Amino acid sequence: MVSCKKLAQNLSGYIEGDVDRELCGEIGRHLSHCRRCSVLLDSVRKVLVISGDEQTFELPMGYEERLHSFLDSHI
Amino acid sequence: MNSGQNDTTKIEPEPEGCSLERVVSVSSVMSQEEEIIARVCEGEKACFHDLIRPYTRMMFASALAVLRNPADAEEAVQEAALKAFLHLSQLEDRRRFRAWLLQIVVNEARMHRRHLRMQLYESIDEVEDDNKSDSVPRQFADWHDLPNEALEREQLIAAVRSAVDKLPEIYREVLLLIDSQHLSYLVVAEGLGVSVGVVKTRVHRARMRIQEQLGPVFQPRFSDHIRLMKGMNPWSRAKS
Repeated sequence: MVSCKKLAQNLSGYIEGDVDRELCGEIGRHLSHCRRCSVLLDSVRKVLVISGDEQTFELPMGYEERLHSFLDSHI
Repeated sequence: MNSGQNDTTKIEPEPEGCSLERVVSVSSVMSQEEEIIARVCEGEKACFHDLIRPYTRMMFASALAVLRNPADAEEAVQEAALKAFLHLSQLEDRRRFRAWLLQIVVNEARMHRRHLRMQLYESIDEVEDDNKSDSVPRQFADWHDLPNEALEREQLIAAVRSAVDKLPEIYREVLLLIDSQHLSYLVVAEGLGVSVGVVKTRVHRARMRIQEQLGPVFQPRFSDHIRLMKGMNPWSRAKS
C-alpha cells in the first residue's frame, strides 16, 4: 500500500490522471481509509477550482481595449 | 495531394480585420491561426488583433506572474504584443505561435522587472528546483468540516490570490499558466524554455505550497463552531 508521503508526491498526477493504473489503484485504496490524505486531495481540488475561476485573476478594467488601442497606434 | 479547396475559394478584400469564419472557408489544410499569421505577414496588419485576441488573458497572467503588479504587467503585455507583431515573420513553425507568444511575454516581463529593479526583492536562485526538496506539505487546510459561511467566495479568492502572490516566481508562473489559464504542460514548457517534467514538478510544488499557505487562513474559527452549534439541542444526548 502506498504511503501518505508517496501519495502527496503523486497527488497532482493522480488528479490529472497522469499516474499508472497500479499506482492509481493503490492511491484510491489509501484514500478510502486515510482521512488526512482524502482531506489533502479535496483541498487541492478546491484550490484548482478557485485558481481556474476567471474571477480569481480577473483582467483590469479596459485592459483589452487599451492593448488593441496601443497596437493600433504602433503598428 | 491538394484537397482543392483553396482553388475555388476567392478571398474578397476586407477593410476591417478578418473574421475567423472567413478564414475557415479559405482553407481546411492550414489552421485558422496559421492562416491569420500568413495574412498578417502579407501586410494585413489589422488581422493581428484577431491573432492575439484568444491569448490576451494568457499574456496578462504570464506577465503578472513575473511582475505581480497589474499596471506593470499591462505595460509589459503591450510591449510584448508589439514585439510579436514586429517579429512575426521570423516565426518558423506557425503551429507553435502560442508558445512563441508566451515566451515573448515572459521575456518582456522579465526585462521589465530588471528595469524596475524588482529583482532586488526576489531571486529565483533562492528556490530549490530539484527533486530533492520536499513537496509534501507540512500542514494543510482541512476544508471538510468548515461551514459554508466561513468559505465566502470572496474570501477564498482573496486568500488564493494572496497565497499565489507569495509564491516564488518559478512556481507562480506555472501555476498561473496551467491552473488559471489552463495551458498545456507542453506549451508552458516551450514558453518558459524548460522541460515538461520540470513544469510538472513546479506545478505540483506550487499547489502544495498554496495548500500549505491556506492552512492557517482556513482554520475553523471559534465563531464557526458557535454557528455549527446553533440549532443543536444540548439536551438531545441526555434524552436518548
